[in-house]
Amino acid sequence: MSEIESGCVDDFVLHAWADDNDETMNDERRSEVGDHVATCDTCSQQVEELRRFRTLLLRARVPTLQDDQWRMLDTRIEMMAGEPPPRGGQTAGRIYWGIAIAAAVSIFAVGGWQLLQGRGAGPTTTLSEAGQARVAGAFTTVPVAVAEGSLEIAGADGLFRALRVDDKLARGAQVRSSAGGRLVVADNFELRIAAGTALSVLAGNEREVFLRLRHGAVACRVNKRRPGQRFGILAGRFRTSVVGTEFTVRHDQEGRVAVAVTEGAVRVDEADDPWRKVSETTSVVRAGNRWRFTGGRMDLGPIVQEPEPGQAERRAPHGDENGARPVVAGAPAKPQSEETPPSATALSDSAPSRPALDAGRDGAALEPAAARRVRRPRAGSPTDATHVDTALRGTTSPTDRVAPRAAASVAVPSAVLSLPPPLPAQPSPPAPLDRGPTRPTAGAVTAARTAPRGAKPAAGKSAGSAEATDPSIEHRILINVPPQAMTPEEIRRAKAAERRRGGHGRALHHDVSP
Amino acid sequence: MAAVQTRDDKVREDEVDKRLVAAYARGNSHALSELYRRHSRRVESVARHVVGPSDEVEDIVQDVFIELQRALHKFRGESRFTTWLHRVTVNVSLQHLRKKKRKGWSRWIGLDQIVGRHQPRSRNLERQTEARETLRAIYEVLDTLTEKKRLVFTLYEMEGLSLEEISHVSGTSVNTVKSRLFHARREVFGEVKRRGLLPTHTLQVIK
Repeated sequence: MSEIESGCVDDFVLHAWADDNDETMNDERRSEVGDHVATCDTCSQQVEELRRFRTLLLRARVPTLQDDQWRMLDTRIEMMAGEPPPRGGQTAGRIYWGIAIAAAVSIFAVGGWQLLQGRGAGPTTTLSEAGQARVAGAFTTVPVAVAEGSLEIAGADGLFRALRVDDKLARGAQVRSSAGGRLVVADNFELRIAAGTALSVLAGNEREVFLRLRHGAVACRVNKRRPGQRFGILAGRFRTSVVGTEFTVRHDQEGRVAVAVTEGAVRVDEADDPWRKVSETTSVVRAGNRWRFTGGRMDLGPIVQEPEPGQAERRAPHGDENGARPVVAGAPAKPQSEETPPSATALSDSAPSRPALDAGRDGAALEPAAARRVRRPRAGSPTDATHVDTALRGTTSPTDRVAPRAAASVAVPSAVLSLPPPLPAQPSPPAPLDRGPTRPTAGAVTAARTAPRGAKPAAGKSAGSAEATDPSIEHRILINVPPQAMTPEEIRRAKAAERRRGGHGRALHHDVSP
Repeated sequence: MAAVQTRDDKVREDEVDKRLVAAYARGNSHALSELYRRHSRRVESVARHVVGPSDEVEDIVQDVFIELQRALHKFRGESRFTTWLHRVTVNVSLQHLRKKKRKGWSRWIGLDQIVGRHQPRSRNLERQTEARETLRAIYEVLDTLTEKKRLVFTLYEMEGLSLEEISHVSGTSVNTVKSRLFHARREVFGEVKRRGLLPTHTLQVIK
């Protein structure tokens, strides 16, 4: 080239030549410049300097995150990924993560400011009265009053350690149990957590405790809910709020949700945020009824009790078709012991039901992010076919996370759950659990608008048959509180919310008290 | 270090990414988890070279995936997913810098950590101090570049992105990227030389 022939090459060219991987220079040109550099002292000297310069750049590279930072990040993202995908570009997750970050690094002011700014409040997310209360209370934590059994908690650092009595549950914390345990938070919210259960804390303060049941089973009891206290469980895309009742919620990894009410009433609506306004799909399910979401359809109807041989006399209320009573082919029904409180007995299904939960104990679903990190290839490395295949399925199946559990679920198609052993500490079993299996049903179910996003109620479907086709029952919650109707204030707020949306405030008008 | 990917590999990987995006759109939340697993390192690396040595990188990576969760439905599949992801990462990173009003790499106070990691065995206090000062000086030099030039320079020289990828990320043409790279190289090299920062020897393996 002329520039080379006429003398030294431009430093642009030498820069490119000194970098072996530079893509601005083709091979022919590289060869030409190389020939020149070999014979030119000036250029040769400059190339030497450029190589030292590149060494300097190499030393100045910003190092990657450290392992503990990656662990923290993995945990956060894992939690976020467990949330249902937002629809319509809503940004509820931003609020959620704003809080998670703040909780993690204890920067109250920054997170609070973001919330006060309403940052991330999407079109369908509005800070209601409860939301405003959240601003005041979201960054507090709820103390753990009792922690028994094999309970572990992962904080913002992503590491799991044993949960202790003095611990505080902050939003974002993850709780898991490998072999079952009992937990009491906020003094009056008792959770008995089954083996192989994973929960995350969506809200944790004295006023409200909302948990996301990621998988597993939790028996909950609220003792004397104080005015203004809110408790609830989010399972899948549905929120079940304690209105004052005893009920069972189940949720499997295919998104099916079932709620059976045995006392009082619950409010079920479609919400992936504890503070979302009461949605248009609110259903108020009264005692003796059940609500289901299967196959994209909502279904309301009475609880149908199908007595099992040898069990009809003593079966607990949640031993109904929604109640996850284990039925194992060929396994005789095990009578409950006299000393065991009915609620505990029903929830702590013994031997025949163990396998399903045991299958879930393989740890895969609860696998800490730190363990997975080891397997994670660098970006751009060949795909882990198993992971991808799992994630690519249109809907999550039980086999997505824990194949052994799915296999067990298929083998034991009924609701098979085993919760921790009955706890002797329970002073007295809640009265509603001692009731007979059947409750009045007619007219006891009210759905304000029961069709979410194209869903159609499937009336007349046999609850029992639906249960039989339910291959995996992985989530069950029993919330047991003293019978209590919705407070006037709750009803007023719900109606006001309905009217603000342009509705007629009928959501709660049509309730038929049990 | 991962093996160098061929063009076919990249196409295949991109197809998988797009299928994951589609799965996520259908409601499979595990798809996001998988996308994170596949690309978190890449995102972190790009973010780290946009904002510099900062303890904010972790938050930025998280913000990127929050943004991804929110905006994944906007990805139309017209470009490669990683290109789109890079762009999101750069945007989030720049947004972060602007929000914090932190313009310079050299203003970060945690240089000791970098020195410690580059020279983990060095217990010589004097050498460590010297290394820290050199590092600070290099970052000061990088701070003299404009934001656009620094982005191109660091992504190309330090992160190893291709010119084409940088052009997608920065929303400019390849020629513009080349031009910025050339000028950035000249400016940085000149300043480094002027300050006497060049090391006395080169490493055997440059890249």
